[in-house]
Amino acid sequence: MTKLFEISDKVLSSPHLTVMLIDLCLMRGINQHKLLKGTGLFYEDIGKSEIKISPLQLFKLIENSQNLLNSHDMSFLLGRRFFPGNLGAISNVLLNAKNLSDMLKIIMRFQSLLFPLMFIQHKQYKDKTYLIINHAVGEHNDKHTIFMAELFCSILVSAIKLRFGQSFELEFKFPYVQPRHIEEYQVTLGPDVQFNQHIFMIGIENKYLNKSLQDSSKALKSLYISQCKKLRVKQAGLIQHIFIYLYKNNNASLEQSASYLKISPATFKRKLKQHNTSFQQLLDLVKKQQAIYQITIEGSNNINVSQTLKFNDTTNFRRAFKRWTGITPNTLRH
Amino acid sequence: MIFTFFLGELKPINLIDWFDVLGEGSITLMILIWIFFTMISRPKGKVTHLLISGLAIMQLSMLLDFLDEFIHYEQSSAWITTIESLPAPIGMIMMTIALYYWHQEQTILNTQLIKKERFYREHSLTDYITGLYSIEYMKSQISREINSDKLESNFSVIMLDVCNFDAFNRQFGDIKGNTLLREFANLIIMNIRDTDLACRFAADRFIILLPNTNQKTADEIAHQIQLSISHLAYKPGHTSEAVYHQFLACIYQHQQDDNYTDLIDKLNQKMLKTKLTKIKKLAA
Repeated sequence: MTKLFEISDKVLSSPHLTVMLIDLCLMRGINQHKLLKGTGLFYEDIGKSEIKISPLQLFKLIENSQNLLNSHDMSFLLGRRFFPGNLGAISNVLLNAKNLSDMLKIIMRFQSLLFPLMFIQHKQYKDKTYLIINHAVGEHNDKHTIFMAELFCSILVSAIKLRFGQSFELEFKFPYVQPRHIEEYQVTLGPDVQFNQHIFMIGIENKYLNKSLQDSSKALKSLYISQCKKLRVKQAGLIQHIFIYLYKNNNASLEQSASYLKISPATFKRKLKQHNTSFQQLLDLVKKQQAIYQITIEGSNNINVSQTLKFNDTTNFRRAFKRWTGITPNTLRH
Repeated sequence: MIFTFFLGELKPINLIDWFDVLGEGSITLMILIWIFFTMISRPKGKVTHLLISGLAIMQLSMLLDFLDEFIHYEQSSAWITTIESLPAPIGMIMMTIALYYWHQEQTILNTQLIKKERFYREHSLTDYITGLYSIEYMKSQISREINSDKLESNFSVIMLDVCNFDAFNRQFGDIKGNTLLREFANLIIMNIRDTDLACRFAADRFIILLPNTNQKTADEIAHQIQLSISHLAYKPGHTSEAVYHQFLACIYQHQQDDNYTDLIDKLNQKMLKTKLTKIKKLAA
């Protein structure tokens, strides 16, 4: 049984990210009281390993750092320092992965240990692998969405650079408009960066996935994996859990989803509201991403997409798509 | 202050002109605030000493004037009202001298700053780590070059990237990393001309605008910077053990129909290629 956590549950046991963020901010001369204001965190407690914080507290901390620091490189800097870092056994598992494909598998398997706030769906089409990334406890606001996306990409790119000694040409699609600090993207992520894509997705050519790493050990990997298994509590964010359910059952109703979670529809609605979303918004998000993937990557026509998403006809699908994205499926194709 | 009380006696309340009290009181208070800001914002030195002394003497004059409103002096001590205005001009003269020195100081500072800032000062556009201007300022300056009235805008841009900076950061930590970036910035500034502008692009990448410069000259300057960086023996610890760094450089001369985005894209592409060739070279 997967244990679910919500935005205000104190579940983030790895203080890694929090400590690094506070460290970086203090190094730039930010006042620690201002930085921690409203987070409910105390500076004295930060380094203690038994301290657990909620996603909401972390988001507030990120928001404070963004407001206090007039620079946009914090997410990229954090990402660069994140891996291999002091993440315990999971760091060692990743350092002993035999190639990038193996690394991705480990990341997805131990996502709740490594990066509980975002989850990855993994797809493959022709000679490319695609990672579609979403938020485990919902999106807080636009600035938060941008920060988390930058952080995620920066972690991935830095981990590749560290392990393979060079950068791979990856394809990045972001759901938001091009930010002013585009230079950070150009330097860290490379040339293939697109904005306004209605989806957060990273494309990796398969030829990179099987490039083997010489300094990895199978025996060490299994040793650390067994350690991780002991550590791992099977947990997932509430939004993540519903997202996956709706992805598999994209015709589910609010009542069905609530009973899947074993809560009443009223409680379900209230919980979604706490996470800054609604049932309809989530359902739309799931379907929109699927449609965009099928159209832009697989090159599907409207009939095929309508069928997968269980629309009665293509007219309905086109109308819904326009509502989700503001453009028609045909505009997206061109 | 005690001295004035000793010499005179308090005026009855109905004789006090509250209008004057308000005016003179606020002047006294303002000068106090000026002294405070001068003290916290100026580095120690001749100019600052003069400024603060001048202000303090003016403050004395204003304070006496202010106390006048409350205190009535006996005939025998009336001399105090005659001399109360005397300190003010002395203070003013001292401040004027201070301002003259300040001007001289600023002229020297400006010549040092000239390579960092081209036309105007805007402190919100500086980069915290290196002290150079941020890319926003570069954007405006390159656009200015592109849109200039000259028939042919003729300028080049150099992009510089530090090799293996991540590894250095990982080994020695971010504080040392930031210090190193600042040293790089200083070295770059020392190696460019007065008309050039150096900015931090992002992360460990720098960008330099060279107005009225062709590719050949830009190549030479880039090479000089690379040479200078490769000789920088940065010492992260207390021993003489030093870490050396290399810069990758890409040069692009502006073509007639490039806009800012084209130009940066081309430079980024060039940098990517340079990096790949270097990796291949190392592997071979």
